[in-house]
Amino acid sequence: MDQIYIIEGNAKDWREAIWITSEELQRHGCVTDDFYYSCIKREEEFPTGLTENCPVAIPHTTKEKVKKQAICVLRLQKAIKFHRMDDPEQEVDVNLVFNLALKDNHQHVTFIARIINLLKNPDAIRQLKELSASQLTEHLYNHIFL
Amino acid sequence: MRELKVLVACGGGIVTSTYVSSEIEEIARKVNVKAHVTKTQLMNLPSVAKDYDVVFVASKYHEEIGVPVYSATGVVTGINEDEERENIKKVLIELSQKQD
Repeated sequence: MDQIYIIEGNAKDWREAIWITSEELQRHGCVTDDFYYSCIKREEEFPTGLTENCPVAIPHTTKEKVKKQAICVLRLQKAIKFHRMDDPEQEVDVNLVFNLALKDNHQHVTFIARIINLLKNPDAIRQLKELSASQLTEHLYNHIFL
Repeated sequence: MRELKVLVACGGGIVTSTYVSSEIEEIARKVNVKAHVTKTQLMNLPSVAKDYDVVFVASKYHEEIGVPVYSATGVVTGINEDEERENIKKVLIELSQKQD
């Protein structure tokens, strides 16, 4: 079963944001012990911050570290910097961190397409920032998994 | 018409390359170009690119690998997306015509 976990809070930097989301995924038995380390290493090399219009980062790592597919979203009260995917030397303010624990199967193609299409939509981004936590869970679930 | 061999690369070869691959398959279908799309990690490009007709990357990439490399980052980020999609279409059509 695919799950979405939502956390509201703050992180001092992108490493801590990845730590918070990885911890949650690990607590639910979705990822291996070294998932966090693997995500960090990957983020250092290939950052996942998106753009100014889309203040989102999508850290993730290889499928070997994933036991059960799940997504952990950290909604930050205060934006933090991530390096940009399209230009790693630049940074971008991020309010939403989507830590993606995905397996490489056919289904995940659909999930990824839905997530990216959702994030490219400015109205959707506004909703993601404004909805209550419980609404946000349902909203994301409907958009990504159904 | 021979099938075009297209390689898509991103950092880890998981999320963005998956998305870009399915988008390129869709574009190829729309313009009637037969394309087989494979995804990989950026670090593998120098060793595997020679087996492909064209490479699309979802990140900055400046290495010379003997195969044309184009950006598809905008397809993911939405920045310059329309231009990039047009370019992908153009590249696929040109390459397929060259091979006839």
